[in-house]
Amino acid sequence: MSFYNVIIFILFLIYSLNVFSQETLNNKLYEKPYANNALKSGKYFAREETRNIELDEFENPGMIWVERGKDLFNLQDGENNSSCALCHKGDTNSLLGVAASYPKVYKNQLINLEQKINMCRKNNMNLPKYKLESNNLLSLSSFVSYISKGVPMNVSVAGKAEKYFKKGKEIFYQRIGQMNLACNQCHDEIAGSYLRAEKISQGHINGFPSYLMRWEGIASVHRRFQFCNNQARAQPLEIGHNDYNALQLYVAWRGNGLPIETPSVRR
Amino acid sequence: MYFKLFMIILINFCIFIYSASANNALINYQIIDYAIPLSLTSVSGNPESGQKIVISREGNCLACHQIPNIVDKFQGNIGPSLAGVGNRYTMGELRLRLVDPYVINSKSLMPAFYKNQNLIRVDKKYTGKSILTAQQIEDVISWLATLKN
Ligand code: HEC
Ligand code: HEC
Ligand code: HEC
Repeated sequence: MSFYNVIIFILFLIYSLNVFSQETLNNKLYEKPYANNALKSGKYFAREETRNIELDEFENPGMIWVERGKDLFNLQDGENNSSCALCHKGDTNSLLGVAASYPKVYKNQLINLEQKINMCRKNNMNLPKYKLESNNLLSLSSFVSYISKGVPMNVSVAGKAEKYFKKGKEIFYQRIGQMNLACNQCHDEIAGSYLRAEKISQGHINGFPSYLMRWEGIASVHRRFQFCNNQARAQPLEIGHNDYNALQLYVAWRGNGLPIETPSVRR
Repeated sequence: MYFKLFMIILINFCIFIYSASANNALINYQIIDYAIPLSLTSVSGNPESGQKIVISREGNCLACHQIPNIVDKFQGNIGPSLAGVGNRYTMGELRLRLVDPYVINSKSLMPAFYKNQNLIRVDKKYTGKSILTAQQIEDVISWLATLKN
């Protein structure tokens, strides 16, 4: 055996080991805490009274936001006197199913539905962006999600989204705060147990924006993340923060397949 | 002259700030055989205030534990029931379980109640602080020791 043969053999060995470890890493990367048939929407962890309020659209207080969102969607505004509906053809046409694919990469930036709506307002209607978490913005995103009710969540984590997905997953597994708790410790390991009076769910976001009885109002996914950060006594991030979007992408992906249930109702 | 005076005041001020922040430093303790045998303080624990801490938001133990002696409808079940915990463990073992449960189980969901370092993204309100003070730890374990059945 010549010297070169040995070198080539070693290089090949290194290469194949590399490919192998890359593959096992990727297998791990896309490992899901819940198999598709074990996915359970948050409403099954909520108390029966709460679930019944959610399921009855006349009683569901989140429907107030949906109705207001519908009005805003049809409202003609701004110098061009345009409305969302004029471009998006009424309430069930072109935006049907769209909510299931957010967060999504748009021009190299991961954005969520609220941010996309704001971009449309600014770029297509020449109107100022709504403040994040404002009533108007959440009303619109509630309405846009509501028209996709029943459509399975289906975010993409491939291509440009991959780096955000990795980041989001890292955040999900990172122990934080004075309580030193990570999302997975509550929502993967002990879902179904009680934290005080609350049954811990699998932590899905297919019902967002979600009506929270304790606040008598609707909350975005990021607002819920802040709330869970508070439970761990961790410093919450700002609503709209890139890291929250990355986390939202990971959380949406691990619940891919769950039907949209906006507006969900929780305590 | 004034410069010197100014420097002395400045240095004094720095020392003052430093010593004030050093108040956050926690008392050293020794772990022997999965226990902290010595009390963290010289004042012995008061079971009555211990019970109050357990029930209140300060200890928030009911978030994760059932404690049959306490009348409260909403008790969590993430950790084991604390019934009879005074029989199962010595004071030293209870102390370690509160101070730093990660010594026993690095993946524990039970927070370390007497730890203020190596934590990430702690809420500004709580940075540099442990969840409970040394005296509160002593109070709590003195109450836990009374849970005999
Ligand atoms: C002048 C026409 C126009 C108006 C008005 C308009 N949009 Fe859009 N919207 C578009 C176009 C074109 C796209 C697709 C291109 C893009 O993503 O920017 C789009 C995309 C979207 C998307 C993302 C669709 C997807 O597949 O990801 C959402 C959500 C959306 N608009 C919501 C709204 C809402 C809510 C309003 C009212 C506040 C609105 N739009 C107003 C033209 C408009
Ligand atoms: C100490 C335990 C705990 C930790 C840690 C925690 N959560 Fe939660 N979370 C809860 C509880 C309790 C609720 C309310 C009950 C429910 O719906 O699960 C909740 C609710 C949620 C919901 C709403 C679910 C729904 O169906 O409406 C989401 C989403 C969520 N958490 C995500 C997260 C994320 C992301 C993290 C990490 C940043 C996290 N949680 C960390 C306990 C926790
Ligand atoms: C976030 C949830 C959580 C909180 C809050 C919590 N614990 Fe725990 N605790 C646990 C878990 C989980 C265990 C099980 C052991 C483990 O996983 O390390 C445990 C174990 C214990 C044990 C050992 C019990 C046994 O039988 O082995 C004691 C004692 C204890 N906890 C006391 C307390 C006290 C006192 C408080 C309040 C000051 C408290 N815990 C707060 C989750 C918690």
